[in-house]
Amino acid sequence: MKFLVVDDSKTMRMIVKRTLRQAGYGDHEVVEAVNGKDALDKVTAEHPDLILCDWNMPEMNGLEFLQALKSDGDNTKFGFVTSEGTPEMVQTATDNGALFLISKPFTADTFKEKLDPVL
Amino acid sequence: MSNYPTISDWMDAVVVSSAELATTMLGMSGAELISIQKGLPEQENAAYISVVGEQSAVQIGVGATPENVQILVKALMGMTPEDEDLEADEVTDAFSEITNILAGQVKTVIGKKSDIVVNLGIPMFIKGELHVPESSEVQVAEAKIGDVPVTFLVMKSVDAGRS
Repeated sequence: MKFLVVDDSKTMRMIVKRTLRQAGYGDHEVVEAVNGKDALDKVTAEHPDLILCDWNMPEMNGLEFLQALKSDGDNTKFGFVTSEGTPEMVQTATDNGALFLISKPFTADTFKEKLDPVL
Repeated sequence: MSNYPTISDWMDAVVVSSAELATTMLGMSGAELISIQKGLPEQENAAYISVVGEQSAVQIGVGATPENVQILVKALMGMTPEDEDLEADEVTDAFSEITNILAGQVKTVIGKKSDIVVNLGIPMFIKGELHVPESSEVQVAEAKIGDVPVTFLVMKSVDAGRS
């Protein structure tokens, strides 16, 4: 299985990868992208099984990236990992096809709770 | 809390949110407010982020000495205080992310108590002395995240929430 971690912060990409390991997904491959535009290229090249994506990013934000994927007919499993987790954002995320939204701060248990049902 | 949060409401939300951040992503025991300070903090390292909406414009900051910034960013990255210090660009990225996570949680806390709609800006990391315009209301708090002394700052436009 392959994860695509999308975040403009190198620190957060590292933390998401560490949390994946702590949540029991350490054996899986992880590729990274720094914004939505970069992530679109990585989806084409890497064919990930699950995308974990920040919301606020330069160039192309997470929601725009998700919408671009869906408009291309791409149904790769998609979840947000973001600083803001208001009910309105969760609704917007699910309305656009995201399977879940993990808001920071999070723990490995949060990852297991959200990822286990969709993998 | 009234419909428009006061600067103390924002500071309370910062303290509550920093405790959540501490126990989840920093592996620390919590956070506590020590005292509200008079005047601005002395020269230090601090990350700031704006929380802005149609009815509110607030700036949130977290500051600490360079040594304590290192402890916090190492904690975020799963390192111990004894590990080798991080490079400047790594500190900027990680400490800005701490402030970003904190502000996201503050937004959630405020959103549960008020119907104002706000969005987060982009965090920035500054070394130096802070100056603010007279049109701003500022509250500075001495606090601890885990055992690490920090300064919380909330700056609010005095007109925010009155129009």
